[in-house]
Amino acid sequence: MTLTSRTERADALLASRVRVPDDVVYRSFGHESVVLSLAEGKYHSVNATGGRTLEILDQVGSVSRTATLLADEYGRELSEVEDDLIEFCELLVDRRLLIVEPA
Amino acid sequence: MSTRIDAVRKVALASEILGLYARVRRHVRRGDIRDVVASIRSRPARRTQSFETGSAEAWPTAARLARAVTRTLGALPTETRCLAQSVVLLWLLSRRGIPSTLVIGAQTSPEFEAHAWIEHAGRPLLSPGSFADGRLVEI
Repeated sequence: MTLTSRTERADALLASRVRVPDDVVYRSFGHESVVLSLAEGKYHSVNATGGRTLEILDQVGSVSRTATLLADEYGRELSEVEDDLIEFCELLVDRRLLIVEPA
Repeated sequence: MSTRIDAVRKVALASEILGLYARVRRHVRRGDIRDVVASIRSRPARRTQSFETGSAEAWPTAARLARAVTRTLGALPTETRCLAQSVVLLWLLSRRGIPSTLVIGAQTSPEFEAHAWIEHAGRPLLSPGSFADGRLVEI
């Protein structure tokens, strides 16, 4: 068994195209963003960084490209941002706030 | 005589509002609010001629219906949520051929709250409260 820094699932997610579902709307309120799933009638709250991340994911549709843009914007190491972004995307996918497009 | 006719009309409207409220409560639990609104709008209006958005004739009628919804549902002993009230009003307006928009807004301070209201021609028929600047979606 080989230990690797990232799981295959995480690597696959990083290489994925994603989109915000049509039934999800979001808006920044400065220090936090509100995300509303119209299909489920559920509200979610994310901090300002999470809101900005969701906005970029929605605009560019690529997880790896989003990581690059966020690393530039926040002046952080790309690998660090990728790890955080993968975790955030998994959370969004679990809550049906983000869809991973079939390859 | 006209007072009696007015009273009969008010009772009929209150009865229509309560009937719609019972149906709306079932509908809004089922899923996507956009589907609920689309389903209501797809039903034919009772009037053959629809009002123009923002027409001089539409606004007073819409405002009267909004007051009736607030008054009737406000008198219920149970909590009538803003979303259900809004959908009831949207349904009443749709039946009379008056276009309207369901707006859902939120605010995050001092604590998270969401609110729904109805607008006609960009003017609120139900109160947006302090949520006017926090519009999330218009349906």
